[in-house]
Amino acid sequence: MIRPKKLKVGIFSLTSCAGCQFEILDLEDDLMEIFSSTNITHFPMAKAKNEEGPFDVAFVEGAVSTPEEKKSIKRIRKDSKYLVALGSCASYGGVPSIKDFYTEEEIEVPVYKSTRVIKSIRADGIGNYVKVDYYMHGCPPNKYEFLHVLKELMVGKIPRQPDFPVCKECRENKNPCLLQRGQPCMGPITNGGCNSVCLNSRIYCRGCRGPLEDSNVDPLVHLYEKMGFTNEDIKKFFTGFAGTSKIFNKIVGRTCDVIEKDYHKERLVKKG
Amino acid sequence: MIAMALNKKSRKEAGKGSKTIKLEHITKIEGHAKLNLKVESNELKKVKLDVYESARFFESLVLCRRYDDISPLTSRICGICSPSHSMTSLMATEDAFGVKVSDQTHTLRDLLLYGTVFQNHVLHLYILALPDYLGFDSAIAMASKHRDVVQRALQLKKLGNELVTVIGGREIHPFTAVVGGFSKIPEKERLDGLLSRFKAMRKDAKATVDLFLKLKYPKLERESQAFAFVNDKHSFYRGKINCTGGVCYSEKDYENVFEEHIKKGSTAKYVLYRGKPFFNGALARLLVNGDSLSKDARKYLGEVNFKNPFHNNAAQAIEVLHCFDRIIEILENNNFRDENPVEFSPKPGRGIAYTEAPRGLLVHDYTYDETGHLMKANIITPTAQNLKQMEEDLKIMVPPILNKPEQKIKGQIEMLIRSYDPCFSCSAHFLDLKIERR
Repeated sequence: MIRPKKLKVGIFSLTSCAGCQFEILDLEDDLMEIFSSTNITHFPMAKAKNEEGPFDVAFVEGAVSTPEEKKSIKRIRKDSKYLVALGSCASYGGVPSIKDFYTEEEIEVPVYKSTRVIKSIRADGIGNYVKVDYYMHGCPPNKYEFLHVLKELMVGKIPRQPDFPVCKECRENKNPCLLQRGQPCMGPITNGGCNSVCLNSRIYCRGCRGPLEDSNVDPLVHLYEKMGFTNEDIKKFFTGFAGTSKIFNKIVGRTCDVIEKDYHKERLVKKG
Repeated sequence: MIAMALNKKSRKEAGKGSKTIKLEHITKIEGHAKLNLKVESNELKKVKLDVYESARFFESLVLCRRYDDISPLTSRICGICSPSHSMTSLMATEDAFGVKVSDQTHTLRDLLLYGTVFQNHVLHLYILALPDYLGFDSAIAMASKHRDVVQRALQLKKLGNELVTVIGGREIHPFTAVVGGFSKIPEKERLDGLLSRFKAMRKDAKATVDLFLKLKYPKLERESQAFAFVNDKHSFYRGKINCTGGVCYSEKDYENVFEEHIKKGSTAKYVLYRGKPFFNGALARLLVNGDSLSKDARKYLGEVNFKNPFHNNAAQAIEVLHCFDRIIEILENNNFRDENPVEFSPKPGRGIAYTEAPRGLLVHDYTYDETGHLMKANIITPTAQNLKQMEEDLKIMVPPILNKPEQKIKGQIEMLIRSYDPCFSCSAHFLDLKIERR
């Protein structure tokens, strides 16, 4: 039998909570096999000796939020044949990107008392800086999706992104519709693939897997308005995990008055 | 990876007995920090630990958001101890609104935190710390010789994750705990299934204690203050804050007791107690609240040297056994019934809550407006509280070993920092170590 060459894999972390890396470590039953059937040469969270590229596959967790990270992601892209954005932060900026919708003063002063302590740039998904081959959505991503993507790549297949909303799996799981109960569920416009995990426990979808590509967001916004949510609240529903995505940015841009990107850019360039 | 980079200048000086050593990235910890050691004529002059994890500004990100958004967002501070953050957040919100939850909710939360703490300890002990002591690069490399040990670790970790999943909905960023209770009560069959697994694997928890008590820890002794909860079941959920001197503080007083400082160039804040460093975490909990351990776990207390920070590993192992005993006790008496979260309405005011996160005391302090939107937030993490103590310990540990080979000095420094199980993504990420010698 011809044994294919082991994939050389790198796992990297940018601005994040490290939860996506833990999601990989949480694959307890498969972990030993993952490590023996691939060649993971870069994984600083779990290994003391880490090598530089080139890599066959790089998994990157976290948002780009410092000038150094901007350089690292470009280097990782150059060193890798296949690049996977792991989780919401790498995909869309995630929770750290909430700050992009406020001014520097509004964000930095409450925490560090001044804007001079921290050097920070916009928090964005890695796709804003480099070409991404696969987006593994979710906060945290589903560990079995990680396993699936890795297996496909190991046998030389290009994995396909799930392209259905959370509602599909939610209906299959026979959950009651929380939108009908007046809760601001984001299931209809959110990327599925999570097996509607939150909804199975009667928690409405907060859209952590980001917007489905051809989703029609406006009717949902009207529904929220009808339910009695204020514009301010609605704006915040869309800035939780994927505010910087193109689709949500349209909504946030419309309802959110503090977002003035050029203003941001100008200030940050001066600062940086 | 310990990247030792002797810079050119220091290399020259090294010949004369003085040099600069740079340790760029300490691995197997959560996050990024840098350490600067200045050595002049073989004397340690300065120790400076700076965290330069990219700041995430959580206390600002949650502002002006509805109360039900706060716990899911603050959970994202840390991927490994997320249940601790989300729980503390809920309790602070409930404190502000004056919500009283049911006894069942308290028990389930208690159970969730036992699961989180032991899962975190197992991960830290076996995957991050143990390879140092057995001389391997990683747990995976360690598996080549100690397959049974690594398998045991993975099975223990899996069990902890399953407990968190059954109660919280998933292992990372669980969501079923909400303000006022739980959105879903775990099924009895699943809890009973867990109970039999916990009973069957208790021997592995015991093996963990035996393994980590007999490891050879580097010698180091220091005097310091320890802060931890006092309660009667060594719970991580509720308790009074006590310190080694026996002085209790009410939660509301934390601002007067602990001083939060901001360091230029460091994204993590550090916390002092009346101007002095202190420590918390497993070692502090055993010191302050050791009597509350389960009967079998208490037996091992005598073998812990509370003056040696490396013994935090031993302390964590003992807590693993304690968590097993408590989880079994709770699950044996489990008779959880279906109930909805208690009803409440948001009201303006301030709420403060403490829990014992795996790495130590965690506080969330919120102020809400009359519509239930958050107006002010303050979060103090255990790593921020331990940060100064790490510096102080290094000042004591490093001078006697300065004559040893550099690789050894660096290895031991890393082991010390790792023994605190620091979580720099909580406190703000990288350990970049620089030793400057003159």
